[in-house]
Amino acid sequence: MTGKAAFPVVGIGASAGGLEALRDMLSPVRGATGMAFVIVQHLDPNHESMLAQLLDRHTALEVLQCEGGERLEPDRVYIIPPGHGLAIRDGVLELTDFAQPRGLRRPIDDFFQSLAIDRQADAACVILSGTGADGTTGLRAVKENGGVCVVQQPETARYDGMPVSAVGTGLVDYVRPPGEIIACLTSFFARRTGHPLEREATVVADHVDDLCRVLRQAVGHDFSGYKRSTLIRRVERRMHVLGIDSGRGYLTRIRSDADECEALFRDLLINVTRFFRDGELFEVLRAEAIVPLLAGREPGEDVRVWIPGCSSGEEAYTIAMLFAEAAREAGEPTAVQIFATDIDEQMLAIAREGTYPVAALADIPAGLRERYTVPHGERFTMTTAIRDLIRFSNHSLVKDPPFSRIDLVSCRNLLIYFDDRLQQTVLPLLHYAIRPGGFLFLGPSESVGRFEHLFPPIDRHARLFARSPGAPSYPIDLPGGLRQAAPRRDRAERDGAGALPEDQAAMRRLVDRYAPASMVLDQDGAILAAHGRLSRYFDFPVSRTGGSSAITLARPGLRDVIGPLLRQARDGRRRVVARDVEVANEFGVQPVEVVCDPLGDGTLLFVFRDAGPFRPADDPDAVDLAEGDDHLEALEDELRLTRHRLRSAVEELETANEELKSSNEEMMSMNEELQSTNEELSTVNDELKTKVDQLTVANADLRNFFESTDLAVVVVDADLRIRNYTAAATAIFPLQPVDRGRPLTDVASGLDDGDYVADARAVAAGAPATQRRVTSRDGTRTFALRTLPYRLQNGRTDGATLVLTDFTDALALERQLADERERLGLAIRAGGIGVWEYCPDSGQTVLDGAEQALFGVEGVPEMPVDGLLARVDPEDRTRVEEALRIAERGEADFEASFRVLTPDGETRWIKGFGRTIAGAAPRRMVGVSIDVTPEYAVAETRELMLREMNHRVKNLFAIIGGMVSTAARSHDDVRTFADDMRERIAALGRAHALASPTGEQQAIALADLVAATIAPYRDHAGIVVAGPDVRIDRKCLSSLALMLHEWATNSVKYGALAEGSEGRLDVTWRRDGDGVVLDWVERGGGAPDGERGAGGHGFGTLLVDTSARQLGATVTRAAQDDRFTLALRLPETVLANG
Amino acid sequence: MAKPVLLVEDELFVALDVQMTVEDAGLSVDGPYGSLAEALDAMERQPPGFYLCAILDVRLRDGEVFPAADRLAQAGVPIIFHSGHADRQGLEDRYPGALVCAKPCAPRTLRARLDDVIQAAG
Repeated sequence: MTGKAAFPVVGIGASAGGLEALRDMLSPVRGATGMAFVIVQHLDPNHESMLAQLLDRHTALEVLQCEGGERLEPDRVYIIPPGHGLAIRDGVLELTDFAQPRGLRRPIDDFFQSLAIDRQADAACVILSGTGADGTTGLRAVKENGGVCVVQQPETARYDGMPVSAVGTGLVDYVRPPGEIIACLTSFFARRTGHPLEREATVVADHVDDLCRVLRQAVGHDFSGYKRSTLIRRVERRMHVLGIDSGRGYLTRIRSDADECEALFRDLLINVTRFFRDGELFEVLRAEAIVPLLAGREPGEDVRVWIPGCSSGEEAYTIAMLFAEAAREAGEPTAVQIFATDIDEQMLAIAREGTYPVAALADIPAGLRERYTVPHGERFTMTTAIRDLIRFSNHSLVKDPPFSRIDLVSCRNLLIYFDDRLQQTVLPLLHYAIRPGGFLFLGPSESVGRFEHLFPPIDRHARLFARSPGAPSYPIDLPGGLRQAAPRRDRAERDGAGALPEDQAAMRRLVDRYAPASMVLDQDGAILAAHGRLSRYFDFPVSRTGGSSAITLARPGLRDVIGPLLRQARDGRRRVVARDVEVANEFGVQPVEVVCDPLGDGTLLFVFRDAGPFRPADDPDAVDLAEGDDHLEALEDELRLTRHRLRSAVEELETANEELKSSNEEMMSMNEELQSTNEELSTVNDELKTKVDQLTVANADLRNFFESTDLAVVVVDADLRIRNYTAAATAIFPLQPVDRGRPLTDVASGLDDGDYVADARAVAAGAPATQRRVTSRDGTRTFALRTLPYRLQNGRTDGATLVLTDFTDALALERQLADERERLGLAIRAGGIGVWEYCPDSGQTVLDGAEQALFGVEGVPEMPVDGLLARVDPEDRTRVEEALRIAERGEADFEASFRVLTPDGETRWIKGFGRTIAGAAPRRMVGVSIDVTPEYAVAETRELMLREMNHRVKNLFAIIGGMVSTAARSHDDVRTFADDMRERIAALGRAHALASPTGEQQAIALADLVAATIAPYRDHAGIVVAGPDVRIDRKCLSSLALMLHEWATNSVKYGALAEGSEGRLDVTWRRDGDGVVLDWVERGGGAPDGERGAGGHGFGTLLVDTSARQLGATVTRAAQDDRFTLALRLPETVLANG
Repeated sequence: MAKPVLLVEDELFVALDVQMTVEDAGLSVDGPYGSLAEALDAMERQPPGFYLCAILDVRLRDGEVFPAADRLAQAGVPIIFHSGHADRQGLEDRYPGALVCAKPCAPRTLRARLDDVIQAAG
């Protein structure tokens, strides 16, 4: 408690489930607490701890992960780093290395212990959720040093192992839910400030005696012999816990509250014990005491061991195991009886059960552990063999009669709680209890003090002492009994307790009245007891200036004797008698005999027996004698004075020594809990670790998502307060980081209506997810708003998530696409375009309706390509296959025109285009087919027609050429020749006009031909043209036309058609067998028949004959009266077929 | 006596014209024959070397003239094709040495061809 700032330091121990508890505990903090917090957790050394970040979010306090060397400051939270322990020294945090392997470390205990020592009453420890029992030992240390202990209410802890274990000690001041712990600590420390320790101490010290009295009446145990400082400290602590600030108030409370008595009692009995505490000292015990005891035991007798203040039994079991092991090694039966006693019934119950946390196993050497313990999961039990060696009983070393004939007393760390006076009475008691040759085993900071003559040390370091030989002297004055003012309520229960005072009275009467005067001195001559009439031999002054030294008080004469007697008897340890001693007083001389009898316990009994009658004083003698006596007396005086000074010095030294020892003991007792068992950490909180890992990753993912997504997301809680949002959402809602927690309704929005709020409210209230389309206020953007329930892990709905997807562009695109598709579809339909898809690897094709129709495979949307190729005209097939192969390889697009033979016998011209889709897997070719049959037909016809026309024209030229050549030979007059030729060419022209220009029509109606030929002469005469429908082959057209023209010309020149003639012409025809017979009949013609006949030898006749020959026709002429007949018989070949 | 010229021509006016042209050259004409059948029939009756030469239209009423032309070529009779539509190259390839006069053909051209043949024969 040097100059460091005095603010409380709260050590917080947590393990599995601790994060939740820590959060609950630290989150209510508002403003300054004036306390520093140090969190110690069980952490995986290989894993970075996220605790600092996780906690920082939930508390107003500054949270730091400790790096070592930090000076503690108030209102900060320090967190243990992974892989290290934590200790505090002079207000500075230090990292420590673990001595134990993983799984056996108890960082919470370790830290609490250092905290307790460093901060004393400024220390507070808090134990939160966790498995195992870490922290339980540490809290004892904190409590022992005056700190306060708070434990999380086990029902609120996820893992209640640590809290339950801590509560089980009965030392916990407060049990609170995590959220109330800080408030509890704050008020505890607030009560304490303003009451400086010293003042408080005096206030309490004034009432300690009263408190002890109350306690003795209530629980039957007297603590007045306990160290004052410890008592005061612990009482004060109780007062802080209860919020009582005056000693008187506490006294009142304790008088009326039996529970508080019990609590104080328990607090006073804080003690720490563990298996093999100070293991090397037990090794000394084993070698020096246990083995010899077993070896030297009388057959049939048990070795008796007494362990007062056994607490929860660990020490008793330790010694039992040592005995059992030694006996086993020696091959002897374990003939040991161990009495383990304590006044705390609660501790005894634990001890009797013999069940301890598995963590404590680490303290037991491996060999013994296997042999004498039985593990049961989290705990282990001592074997029955060991338990049967020990008897646990409620017994007070202070107030109850001791055991006797004990071979070994192990009384460790008990005397340190006793004040000097009580220690002085207990040690002789132990001397009584132990039989000669037995052993006393004390704690490392305890000693036998002034009773070294009773207990000479065997091993000073190990605090192992032998009982000095000599008869046991029963210390009659039981320390507790003599000081007792009022009879204790349990006094009568003790055997023989009522008879003792009467014996004593008799003895005293006997000694006082009937025995020679006697006196018990210690080895320095101090009077311990006096009996009988001693005034004759001693001069008891009114003032006690001479002290209690028998030598000083002895009358002259006796004074010289007592010193030598004392020394001789003490050193020789036998009775010494001084005879003829003359004791002088004011009235005369009394001869006496002085016997000095050394008693066993180092004191000496002096007995004074009168050896003769009293002789009155003789004055003259007296002068001489007085002178001589005076000289001796002066020397004696001087010696006595010197001795007195020496003694004072020695006593002062001893006192100082005692004080030193006492403070050392006190220190050691405070250290108790530091050295105490480290509760083994049994469960490392893997679950939390994993969860934190996942959470961290998920959090990072989420953060990245929130920052990077284009999706506008707003998350609201059940009250429609904004919990989170993405960066994209700020385009719609102008959100700022400070808006988190604001109601959604308060936030402006860029949407044109507020329906989204209603949606969010409904969904947060449990309605299913909804979707709606919303538009921005300016109408330019369209969003899909999906409102989804925000579900917690347990499936409960706790708010809503609003997801806004901007699909303005998508919408426009979709519309555009639909238009495009419709146009395309229309075009394809209008063009009768078939669409196909071909997968070269599988050889399969997919055809649409139009394509199916083109190939004549309606209703077969998918078919192998071979099936399609089979329909292709064999002449084109190879070409198509080749084009497909080239396109498959991607060398060129597919383009081919080919004929398809449809099932109904049609030939169809198809033009196909296709292209392999780049990068598609499997390879795919898509293409279209167009029916080009009409185009092909037209082209074909055109070509045919052209050829035909060409031929015809050439033919006509040839015919005309031929006619010109031939006619030229029979004409002399060029004009006539030219006219005739012009007429003939015109006739040919008219005839050919009948032939269809397309060339398709190969047949010309005979009626038309006749009509066309004689058309120029229609008005010349009555012309009758009649006959059945006969069609003439086009090839015969020219010949027939020329023939008819010649006839008509002749008729105009000479016959019925001549100008001015009244003749008439009948042209009729009829079928005659296979052929046709045409009759040309003229009546009333002008020219005589003879003339016409002559004309037959001109070019016209040649023309007609040649034409007839050409046609294979025969012409018969006949003339009779005015009737001129030409009969033309046309063979079948002239007629057009069909 | 000079050998006759075989004339195969289905168009009689043309045939007449050609015949007059041939006769003007002082040669006689066998024909004209208007069909392949008639032409072949005529050739049946004569020894192969009977004709000085042959003037042939390609397309006849009953088909093309080639069967007759083949036999004439085989017999070494010079051939003059007189046709309106035949392709000159095809004919010259098939009948090396044959002459081709595209119809309508001027009488002078035909006369020149005929002279060439007489010259060659002479």
